[in-house]
Amino acid sequence: MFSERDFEHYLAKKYMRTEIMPHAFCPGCGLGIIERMILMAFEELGEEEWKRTAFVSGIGCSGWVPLYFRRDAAHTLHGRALAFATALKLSKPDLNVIVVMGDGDSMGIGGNHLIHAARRNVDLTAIIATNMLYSLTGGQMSPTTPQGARTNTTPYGNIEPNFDLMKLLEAAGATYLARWTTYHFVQAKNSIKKAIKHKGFAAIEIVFQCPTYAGRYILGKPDPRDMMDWFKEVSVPLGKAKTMSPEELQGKIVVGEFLHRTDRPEYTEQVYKIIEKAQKKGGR
Amino acid sequence: MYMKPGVGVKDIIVSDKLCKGCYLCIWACPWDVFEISKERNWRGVKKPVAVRLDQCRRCRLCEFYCPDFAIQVIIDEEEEKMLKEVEEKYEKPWLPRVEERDRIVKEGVWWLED
Ligand SMILES: Cc1ncc(C[n+]2csc(CCOP(=O)(O)OP(=O)(O)O)c2C)c(N)n1
Ligand code: SF4
Ligand code: SF4
Repeated sequence: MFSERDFEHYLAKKYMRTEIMPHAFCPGCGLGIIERMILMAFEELGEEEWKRTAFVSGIGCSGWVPLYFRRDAAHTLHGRALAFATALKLSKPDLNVIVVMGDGDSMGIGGNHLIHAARRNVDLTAIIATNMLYSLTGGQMSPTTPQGARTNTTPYGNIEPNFDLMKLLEAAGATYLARWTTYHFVQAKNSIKKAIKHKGFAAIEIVFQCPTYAGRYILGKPDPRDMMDWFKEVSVPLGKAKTMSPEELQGKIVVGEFLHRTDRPEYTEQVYKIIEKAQKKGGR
Repeated sequence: MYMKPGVGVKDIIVSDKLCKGCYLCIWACPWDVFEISKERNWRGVKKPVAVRLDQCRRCRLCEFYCPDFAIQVIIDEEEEKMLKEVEEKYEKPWLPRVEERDRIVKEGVWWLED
């Protein structure tokens, strides 16, 4: 009944701009899996939720993720996605605003916006796609590149220690935090679902495979299948990681749901309360 | 999504349009359903083909790990019908809007005319 020539998957038919597909990502790139996680989360949340969602993305390969959805999406300046998203959320508080950023985009050039969005606890869902380097520009070192790894800008090995995003955002004041890899498909989808429902700043870091640069330069595994096996090997669940020493955790990816708290006030609500208060006093 | 326990499926479609040949589906399948085809298709990709449909356990792992939305496991007629419905309801109404946009772009952008 269906011809294989121009077939698309069920989720693509339902949610995606099939006229511009296949997407521009390299073969085996994990960004497509992240797209699917988002779409499956919405498939379970229902159409109502999908209809009041808007996407914001930064620059980078990962910035292309929401541009394939049949939803409004803003492709903003490099690193400034969260600033744009905060304004969008303030002007339309009923919207679900989902921000998709790369690691260089969120922690490198946009690090300042990231910590302040977390500090204010703005009701956003930040999906941070980590591939351990800057990939759109050709494989330069980023704040998540492992120590000792060779990239285009660190030909003798990276000497910089990298960020632990979860600790950084916990200290800054985020209220929902999770980290998964593309290997942990179902868990990541459930976390995205929770984060969309959560009121407050939610960040989900998804480590994904970039066979073209991270695979070739950092890991020496240009095949996406080997990278998936590597994710399976090095990821440690949070509960087990707590019993391990820092030396044992070297080179591992700790995955799990790191934080879920509801005791901090949300920014948009506060702003609207202030507006109401000011209007009652007649501006004085 | 639509899941039913059992063995064997009606069809597993691998799209010519979308498949880029990363073979993550072959990596994901626990039941060795796929094989790489000998010939290249019109896009130059040696697509995976589901040769052992009767071994499929309907877990959909191949679908989940496909980054390009190219694979669809079709368990039975019911699912095929559902797919058709989705196409009619969501994809068909979208395409005229795209054509309209292309028409406007072709005509030129009015605010650039003097
Ligand atoms: C202000 C500015 N500086 C630099 C660039 C060049 N640039 C484009 S993409 C990119 C890196 C993006 O890397 P990342 O955020 O990790 O996303 P990825 O491509 O890895 O998904 C850079 C530096 C730019 N577009 N704008
Ligand atoms: S360069 Fe890496 S992140 Fe970018 S599309 Fe290719 S595989 Fe994906
Ligand atoms: S549904 Fe499961 S068993 Fe069937 S082909 Fe896909 S991965 Fe293999």
